Amino acid sequence: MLLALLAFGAGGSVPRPKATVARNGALTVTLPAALLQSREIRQQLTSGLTTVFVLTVTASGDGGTAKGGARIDVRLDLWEEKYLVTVLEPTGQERKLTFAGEAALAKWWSETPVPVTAPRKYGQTVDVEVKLKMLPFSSQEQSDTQRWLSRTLSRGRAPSGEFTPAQSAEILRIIVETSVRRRPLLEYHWSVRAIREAAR
Amino acid sequence: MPGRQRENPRMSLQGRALAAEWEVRLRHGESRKQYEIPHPAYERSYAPAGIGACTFARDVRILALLLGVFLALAPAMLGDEIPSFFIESIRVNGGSPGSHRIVVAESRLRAGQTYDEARLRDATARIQRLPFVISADFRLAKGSEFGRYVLVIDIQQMKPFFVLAESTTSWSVETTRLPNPADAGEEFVRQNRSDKIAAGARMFVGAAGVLNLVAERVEHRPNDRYTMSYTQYDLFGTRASLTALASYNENPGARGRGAPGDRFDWHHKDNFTYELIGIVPIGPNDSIRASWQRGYLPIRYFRGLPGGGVQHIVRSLPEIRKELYWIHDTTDDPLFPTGGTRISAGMTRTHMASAGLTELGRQKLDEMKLSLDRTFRLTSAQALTLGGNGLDFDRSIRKYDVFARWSVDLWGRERTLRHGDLRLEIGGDRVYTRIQDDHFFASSTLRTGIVFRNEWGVLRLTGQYEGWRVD
Repeated sequence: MLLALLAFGAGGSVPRPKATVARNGALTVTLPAALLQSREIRQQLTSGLTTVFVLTVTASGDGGTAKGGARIDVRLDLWEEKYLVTVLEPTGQERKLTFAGEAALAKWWSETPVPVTAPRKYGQTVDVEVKLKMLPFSSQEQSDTQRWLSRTLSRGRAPSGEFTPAQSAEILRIIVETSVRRRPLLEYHWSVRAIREAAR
Repeated sequence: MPGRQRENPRMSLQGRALAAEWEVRLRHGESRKQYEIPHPAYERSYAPAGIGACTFARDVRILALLLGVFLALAPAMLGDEIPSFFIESIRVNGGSPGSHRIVVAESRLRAGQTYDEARLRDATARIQRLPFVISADFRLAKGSEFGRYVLVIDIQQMKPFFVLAESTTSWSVETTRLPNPADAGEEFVRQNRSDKIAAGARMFVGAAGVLNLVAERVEHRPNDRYTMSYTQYDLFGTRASLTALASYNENPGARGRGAPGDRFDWHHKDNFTYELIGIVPIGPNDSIRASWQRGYLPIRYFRGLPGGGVQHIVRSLPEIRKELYWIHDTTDDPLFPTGGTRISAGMTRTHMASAGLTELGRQKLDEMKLSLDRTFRLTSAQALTLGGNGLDFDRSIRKYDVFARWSVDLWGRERTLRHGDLRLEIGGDRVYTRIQDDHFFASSTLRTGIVFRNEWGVLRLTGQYEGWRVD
């Protein structure tokens, strides 16, 4: 039945995400709310099991090419009727969020920019290739990632408290590569041009 | 502008069972009697025929390589515990009612236990490897009280009738030997074409039983094979399974009564082979597989007659074959895996008759085997499988091979959902063989094929080139 629903839902069009170069130089992506309203994603989200969204970007422009990504895990606690969300950013930061219902999740999803690259210098024009994969429920790679991150973050941070490029690259590799081992249910691909966040 | 969608096909589509069965049967070693019917319990073997020269040092290096692969895979077998759920009951939707208990048994999950998502994911893969399951999806529902859950398994099931067909064409380069060496040369030749077809039916019997009937046309006429098997899953509520199998092979090699006066002791009943196969789970993804097979071999020898001359004798003598294997399997699809690891290690012991020119005796053959393969997802449509096998045949033949297989979905998710899977596969292997204390021989095979599967069966068209021999 899920396959039939997936087949039905696959034909629809989804609005593009919004890419923004933040004031601190990080590239962020804001995902469209329509994604969460599609039948196949809703069905997966309400399964009570973790749904993983893997976001990968390639930004190119005057300032060269940068790759980045983030990972968003969403699980509906059926008894508490709350959505438990974990966001893993390319800096290695992990954010845990809780939303009281579908509306609150959708609001956060469509209004919160998700950082996908560490701060860097971008040129005037930044074209961004955005890929989003929805994966079925979680597996051990997730906890492998968490273990690796906790170990790395506890011992490897630079004296300034920032991440070295090598560390960021390794985190990105883990975000992406440990996830693609699993079979995605859906995969989206967009090309967007990043806008710059207005200065204060 | 709307975003471009590139949804990945659900690879768990149709023909999964038949695919597994066919794949397993085709991959069985050439030297073995092939009385098996398709059953997922059979270990996979990727050992193609082929020979080629190395040294003992290379032998050791290959063993070290296999061990290294094994150690590298070992961490993948360890799981974690977050998040987890107390499952108070398990419900199966879809398919025929007769299959529901089998699905629950094969999940290796039990009501009243707490499972994390990794365990549930492994259970999904196990169910998807069942011969009759097209796809399986898990979801949770609220249980009877706070913190308890009902696990709901939605399955799609195959048709009760199926067809399997395969055609393989082989080419190689042959050296032409002529009296005048100057005229000798190499020629690209087609070696042979092998066509195989099978048709069968599957019925659910009782609470957790499956009856299979399969008719096969193997290689060329008359060598048909007819097989009936019954598998009882969840034996005594232990999640173990037992398969009883009877197979009739039209031509096991004892044709012709010979000249008048010859002794021909072979009857139709000798064309039957019987087998029992037991699978006992020892962990979420690990199991022990044991089998016992009894068949008959046509044994030929001569006996001197009192008045001079000899009598040609053909007798049917029993062959008993026993196997014991440990199998670790996390692959998500029996025919087109897109992820997972499969390891099997074990031993086969065969007791059989042997004959010299005028003598009759018995012999015992031991065969040890280790197989490893791991599949990686490259993109949403592509997967790469890497692996190797090691075989020791009665301490007289050692064979090692490494292989790689890349596969790609040819027509996308929409058509896959509508019509079935269509994939292109390209692969190759390198086989090293050593007979007793002789040096190694090596050869390679490069294969490309197109495979189609749906809920009715599997069609496969393969072309392969055998070469790069080192004698």
